Amino acid sequence: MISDLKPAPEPDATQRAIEFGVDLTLLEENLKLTPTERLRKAQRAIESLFAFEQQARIFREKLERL
Amino acid sequence: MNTPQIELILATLEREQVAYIMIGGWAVIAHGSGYITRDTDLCYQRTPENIQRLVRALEPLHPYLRGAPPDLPFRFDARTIESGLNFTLTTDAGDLDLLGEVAGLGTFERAAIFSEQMELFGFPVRVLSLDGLVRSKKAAGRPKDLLILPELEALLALKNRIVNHKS
Repeated sequence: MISDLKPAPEPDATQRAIEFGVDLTLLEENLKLTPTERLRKAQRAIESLFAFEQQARIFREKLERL
Repeated sequence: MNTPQIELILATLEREQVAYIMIGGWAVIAHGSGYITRDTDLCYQRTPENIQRLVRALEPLHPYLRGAPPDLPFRFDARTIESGLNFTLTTDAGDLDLLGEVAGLGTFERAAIFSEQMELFGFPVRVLSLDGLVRSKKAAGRPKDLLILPELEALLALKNRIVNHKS
C-alpha cells in the first residue's frame, strides 16, 4: 500500500551543512574556544586578509606603472 | 578602509555604557562560525540618553558616512542619529554599521529578546543569539545572508548536542 510508505527522514542540520560544504570539524574546533578566543582568531584572519589585499594593490599599481 | 578592530569598538562602547546588541558577522563568529567579516554591525537602543552615550563613545573614532564625498557636511551628533535610523560609517576602528532595527526582529527592545550576554575581552556584551541570527538572516533574504544559514543551523545543532551531552 502506498499509504504505508513513509517519507525518508529529513536530514538533520549538521548533515545538511555537510552537504552544503560546511566543514564541521572547523566549527567543532571553534566551539572548544571561548567567545573571546573566537573573536581574536577572526581578528588575526581579517588582519592577514587586509595586509594581503594591500600588498596586492601595491603590486598591481607597480605593474600598471611599468 | 581600516581593518575592523572589534576589541577597540567594544571597549569604546563599554566606557560610555552604550546599550547595543552585537549582530552580523562578529556575532556569527562569537557563536563559533569560521566566517570572516569586514565590518562591525550593531543594533543600538534609540532612546535620547543612549544616543547621547553612543555619540560620546564613537566620536574619538572619527565616524564618517561610508562612501560619501569628503566635503559632505556630515556631523556625527545626537541630532543626526535621531533623525535617521541606520548608518553605514567608516571609523578609525574599521567600517561600522549602526542599525536601529534588525531585519525580521525589529528594534533593539525586540531584538534583545533574541540576544544573550557573553563576556568578550572582559566586557559584558549582548550578542544576538543563534536563533535570532537565523531569524534575521532568513528575513533579510539576501544571497549572502542565506549562504550562512546552513552553518548557523549546524552550530545550533552542535550546541544542542553539547548541552544534551552535559545534562
